[in-house]
Amino acid sequence: MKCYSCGNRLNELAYCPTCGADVRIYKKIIHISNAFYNEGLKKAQVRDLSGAVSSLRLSLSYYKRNIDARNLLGLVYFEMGEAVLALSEWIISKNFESKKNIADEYINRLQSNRTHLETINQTLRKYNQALQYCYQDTRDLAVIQLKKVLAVNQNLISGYQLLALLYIDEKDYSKARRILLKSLSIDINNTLSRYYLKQVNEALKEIAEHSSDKKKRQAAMETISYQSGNDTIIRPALPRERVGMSSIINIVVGVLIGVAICWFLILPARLDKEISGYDEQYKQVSEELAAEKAGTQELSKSIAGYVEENEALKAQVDRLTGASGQLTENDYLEQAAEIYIRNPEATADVMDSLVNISPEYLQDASEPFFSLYQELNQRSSETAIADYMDKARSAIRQNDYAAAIEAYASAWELDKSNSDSLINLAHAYRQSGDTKKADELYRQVIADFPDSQNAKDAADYITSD
Amino acid sequence: MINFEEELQKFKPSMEIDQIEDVVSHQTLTDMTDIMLEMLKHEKEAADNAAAAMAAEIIGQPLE
Repeated sequence: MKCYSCGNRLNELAYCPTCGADVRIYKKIIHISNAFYNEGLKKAQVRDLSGAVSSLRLSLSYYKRNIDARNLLGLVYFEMGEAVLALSEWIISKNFESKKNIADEYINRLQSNRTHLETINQTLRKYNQALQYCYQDTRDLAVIQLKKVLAVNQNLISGYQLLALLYIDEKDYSKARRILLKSLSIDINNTLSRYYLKQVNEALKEIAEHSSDKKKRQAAMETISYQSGNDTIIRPALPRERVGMSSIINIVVGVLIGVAICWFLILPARLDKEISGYDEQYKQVSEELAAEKAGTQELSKSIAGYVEENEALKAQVDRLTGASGQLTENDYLEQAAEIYIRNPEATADVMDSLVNISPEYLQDASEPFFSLYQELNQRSSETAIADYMDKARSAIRQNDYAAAIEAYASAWELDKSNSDSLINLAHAYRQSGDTKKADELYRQVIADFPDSQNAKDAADYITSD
Repeated sequence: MINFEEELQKFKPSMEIDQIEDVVSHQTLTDMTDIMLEMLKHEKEAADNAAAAMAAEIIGQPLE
């Protein structure tokens, strides 16, 4: 303690040892200030922030240079969300005592974190704006604004109190109660918060009492009160748990809902998944089956072809080997050769045999077969043609047109370059009365031998177009 | 029951950071010690005045 007059240190005497000033009252004032500071400290330690503020302000009102009291006051203000008041106390403290002062550290901590400081400032601005909304009677906006403020500055006691007041005005007592309890957790003995809470509890009790619901009334009546230090805590009793039928019903309903959810939501999705998997498999199998079928069809076609070929070859072999019983081309050639050898003049008989050998067979025939056939044909054909022509003319004279037709046809078969045979054949048909066939043959003469005299003659004989 | 308008009057706008200068400068820093010093000063002045008046009286009277 220093002397108020000369600033020198005092001792236990009632006057200053240096300047002799009467320090009795001065010392008393300092002691009182310290006593209030101690009281404030105790209150701050148990979170009675409002109480601490009043004690510390008293302490400072006695002795403004009580640095500890001022620093603690700043701390308490900061805890209550009043950053500006806190800073002002620390600045004044630093002004009184610039050396070894913890206020210096507090100020530096705040100033160093500019973002945090700005955030605090924003919340204070929004709080003021909310207060303006209240004055302007736009309370919904005030509620919204205060919620935003308290979300950031969770220690702003005045914010909680104002929000609680708005809820009380809206008669939303349960919300108001919740907010006030939160505020009291920060500052347990705040007079205003306690006052509002008392009003809210009374209102809730009144509602419960007037409620027609017997159970609500009971619950409202059933409160538990107990002492906690200097405070009386009154809270509603915990609700009794429902047992019995209602629980069973609830469980059953819950199970049914779960089953319904599985049936309508989960099961169809799983089934769809399975079905799509099967569809894929089915598609794959169908494709494979189609490919198999196509392959089988190809094979069947090939087999049919082979069978046909086999039949043809078999017939051919039968024909060649005489297994079918019919005379084969070889037989006819041998027959013709035999006739010629026995009687070279019997050219007609030779030609009769040779006629049975088809041109298609000749195409595929072996070289010896073909050369023998050519030889016999060459030697016999001319004579045979002449014989046939004589035979035919003789038949005409006897009006045996059938025989004439046969003879001329044979001659024509043997030599298809001879237009005389053809036109005579046509004449034989015409004379026999078969004009249709005759006309057909006349046209053939015109077509095959257009520049010949026979063609011109044939044109005259055609009866129909 | 609580009257909203009445209760609202209890709420004052909060100071912002940029108003801190005003807050500090307008702080009333007079404490008991200042009052005591003032009182002592007045007492001293009064005592000085009384002493001066007495001295003046004494000087004004002739010696016997």
